[in-house]
Amino acid sequence: MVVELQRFVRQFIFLIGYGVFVMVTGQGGEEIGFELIGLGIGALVILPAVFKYYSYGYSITDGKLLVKSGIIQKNLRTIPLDRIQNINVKRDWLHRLLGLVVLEIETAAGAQAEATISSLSEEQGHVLQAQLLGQQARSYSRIKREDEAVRVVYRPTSWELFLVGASENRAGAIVAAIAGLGFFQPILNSWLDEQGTQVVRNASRLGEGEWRIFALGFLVFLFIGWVISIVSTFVKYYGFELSEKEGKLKRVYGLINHFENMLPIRRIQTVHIDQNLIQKKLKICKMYAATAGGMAVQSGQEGQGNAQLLSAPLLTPVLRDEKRSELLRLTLPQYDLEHPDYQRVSKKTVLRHLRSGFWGALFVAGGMTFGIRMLVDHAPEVARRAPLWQLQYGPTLVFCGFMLLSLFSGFLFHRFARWSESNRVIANRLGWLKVRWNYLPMAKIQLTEVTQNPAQRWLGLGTVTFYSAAPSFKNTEVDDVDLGDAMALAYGTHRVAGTTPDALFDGF
Amino acid sequence: METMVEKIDITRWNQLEPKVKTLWRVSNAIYALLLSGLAIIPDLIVRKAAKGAWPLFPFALPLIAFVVLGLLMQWVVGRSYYCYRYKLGDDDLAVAKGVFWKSWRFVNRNRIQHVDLTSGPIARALGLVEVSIYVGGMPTAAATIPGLSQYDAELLRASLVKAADMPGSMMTQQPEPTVPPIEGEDIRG
Repeated sequence: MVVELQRFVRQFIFLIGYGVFVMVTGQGGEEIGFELIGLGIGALVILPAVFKYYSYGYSITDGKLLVKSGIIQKNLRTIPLDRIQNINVKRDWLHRLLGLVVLEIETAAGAQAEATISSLSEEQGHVLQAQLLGQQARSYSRIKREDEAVRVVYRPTSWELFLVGASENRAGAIVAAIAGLGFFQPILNSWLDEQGTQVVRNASRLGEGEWRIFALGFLVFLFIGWVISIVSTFVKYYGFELSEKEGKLKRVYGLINHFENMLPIRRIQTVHIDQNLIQKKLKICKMYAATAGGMAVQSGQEGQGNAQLLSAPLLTPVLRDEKRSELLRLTLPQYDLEHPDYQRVSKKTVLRHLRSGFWGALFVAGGMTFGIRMLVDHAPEVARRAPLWQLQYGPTLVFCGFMLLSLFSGFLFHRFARWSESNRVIANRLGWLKVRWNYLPMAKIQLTEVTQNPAQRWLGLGTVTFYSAAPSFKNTEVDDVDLGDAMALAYGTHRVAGTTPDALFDGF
Repeated sequence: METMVEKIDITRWNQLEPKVKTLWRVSNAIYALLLSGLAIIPDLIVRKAAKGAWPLFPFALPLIAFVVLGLLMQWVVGRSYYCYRYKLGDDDLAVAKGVFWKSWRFVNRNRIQHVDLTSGPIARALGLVEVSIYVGGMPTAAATIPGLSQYDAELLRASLVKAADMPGSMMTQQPEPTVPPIEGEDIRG
C-alpha cells in the first residue's frame, strides 16, 4: 500500500506544490479553503491506495498467472507462464527502506509490462519470480542458496564503470551545458553592465570579453555535464553483475534504486554492440540484447514504462573487449557470430548520397538567394554593410558545401558500412565515430522488406530491412546494395526464417 | 540465368479489385478538401492585408489548392493501383507497393499471428475489404492489402490462418467464405 501511496504522491505532486506555494506566499484563498484543499489532497492520496490494496490480487494456477484488479470495473488478467518473456524485480529507495519489491512481468504483447505486482516483500517477490519462471515452488532460503551457486559471467570493476561514464553520452552533457549557460546569462549580462558603467569601453573589446566569458562558461558546464555523466553511470550501475543459471541471464545493479532482471536466453531476439572512438582506445564497449518483451524500462529512467520505447535494452553497461566473444556465444548460443563474411555496400552509394543531398542543398541555396534579393530590394542600407562576396557567391558556396558534405558522408558510408548473411545470421557494422554491430539470427526474423527511394531507383539500388519481434529495437538494415542482391537477400532470408524449426517453437 | 529481379516480377502478381481506384479517388478528394481548407487562413490574412488591392476573388487560394492537390492525387491513383500487388506463395505472402518510394515485403506464413479484415463506410458501399496481416512483436500490421472483394479477402484470410496453424490446433479445415465471388472468379484458380 505504501508504494501505491508513493505513486499517488507523485501524481498529485503539483497539487501539493500548489498547497506549499499558498502556504509560503500567504496568497490566494482563506485559511479554511487551504485546509479543505489539504484534506482533499490527503483523501485523494490515501483513498485510492486503500482501495487498490483491497482490490488487487494474484495467483498462479494451472500454469497461468491470474491478476485481478479494479473496484468498480473488475479486471482479471490471465498470463500463461510459458509466454513470459522476462521478469524484472525493482526496488527504488522507498522500497528498500521498507523491504519491498515490485515485480514486472513482460510478455510479447507490447512494450510495456503486462502485469505489475507491487509491494511484495522481498521473500515473496523472489519466490514468485522463481515460480513464474517455471521452477518448483521452494523456500526463500533455498532460492538464496541456489543464487549463490550461479555462474557470474561479468562483473565490471569500478574503474570500468568510471571509464564508460567518462567516455560517452556527451550529448546530454552539452545540452546541460547550454541550458546552464542560458540560465546564467542574465547574471552574466548584469555583471557586464556593471563593469561597463565603470570603464569606458570600445565595442570591439566588449565583444571579445563576452566571447571569452562565454567560452569559459561553456567549458565549465561541459565539465560539469561530464562529471554528471560519470556520477550517474556510477550510481545507476553500481554493483552491476551479470550471471547465468539454467539458461537464464540475471542482471543485478543499482546504488539507490535497485534493479534485478531475469531473462531466458532463448528469448533473446537480437544483439548489438556499441563502441565509440574513445571506447575503442580504452578497449571497452556496451552490449544490448532485445527480447520480444521490450525490456523498455531497463534503459533510461527506470519505472517510467513506455517513455523509453525506442531506446535499446541494455544487457551490460560496459564490457571489456576480450569478454565480447564469450558474451556473444552466451546470448545467441546456436550461432557463430564471430566470423561474419562481411561485404561492402555498392560503390554507387556515393552517388546516392550526392543525389539525396541535392534537393536539400538546392532548397537552402534557393532560400538564401531569395532572402538576399529581398534584402537588396527592401533594405539596401543593411545589404551594403555585408561583404560583397557574401551577397554574390553566398548561395553557391552553401550549395557546394552541402554537396561536399553529402559526398563525404557517401564515401564514409562506403568505407565503413559492412553486412553479412553468413552462418544463418544477418550481421552488419555501421558508423565511424560510433561503431555499431548488429546481429540478428535468421530464425528470429519476422518479415523482410526491400525498399527503394527515388535516388536509389535512379541507380538500381535497394535497402533491405529485417524485422524481428523485438519492438524496442531498431530493425537491422542493409543499405544501398544492388536491387537484385537486395531481392535475393530478402526473399532467401525470409524463406530460411520460415522453415527454421526453432523459429516455430522457440522464436518467442 | 534468370536474376532475382526478373523472378520477382510484380507484373505477374495479383492486382487489387479495380474498384479500389474509386475508393482511393473519393478518399483522396476528401483529404484534398481538408488540406485545402487550411488555405482559408492565409487567404483571409492576405485579403485583409492587401485592403482591396488583392487581384483574386475571395477563397481563390483554397480553390486553387484543392484543384492542384486533387489533380496530383488523382494522377497518382492510377500509378499506385498499378504498383500495388500481392502474391500468395506456398509458404509466404509478398506485397509490393509504392510509386516513388517502392517497397516489397515478404511475410512467411509461419510467422503470422492474426489476420484482420476491416472496411470503412465508403469501402463497404463498394463491397471492398482491407486485409491486415500481423506478425509477432510488431504493433502495426506487417502487411496490408486494401481493396479486395469480401470473397477474396475471406479466402485469403482462411488460407493464411490455416497455413500458420501449429500442430495440434483445433482448426482442421478451412472455412468457406461467407459470400460468393463477384464474377465467379477465384484467386485459388
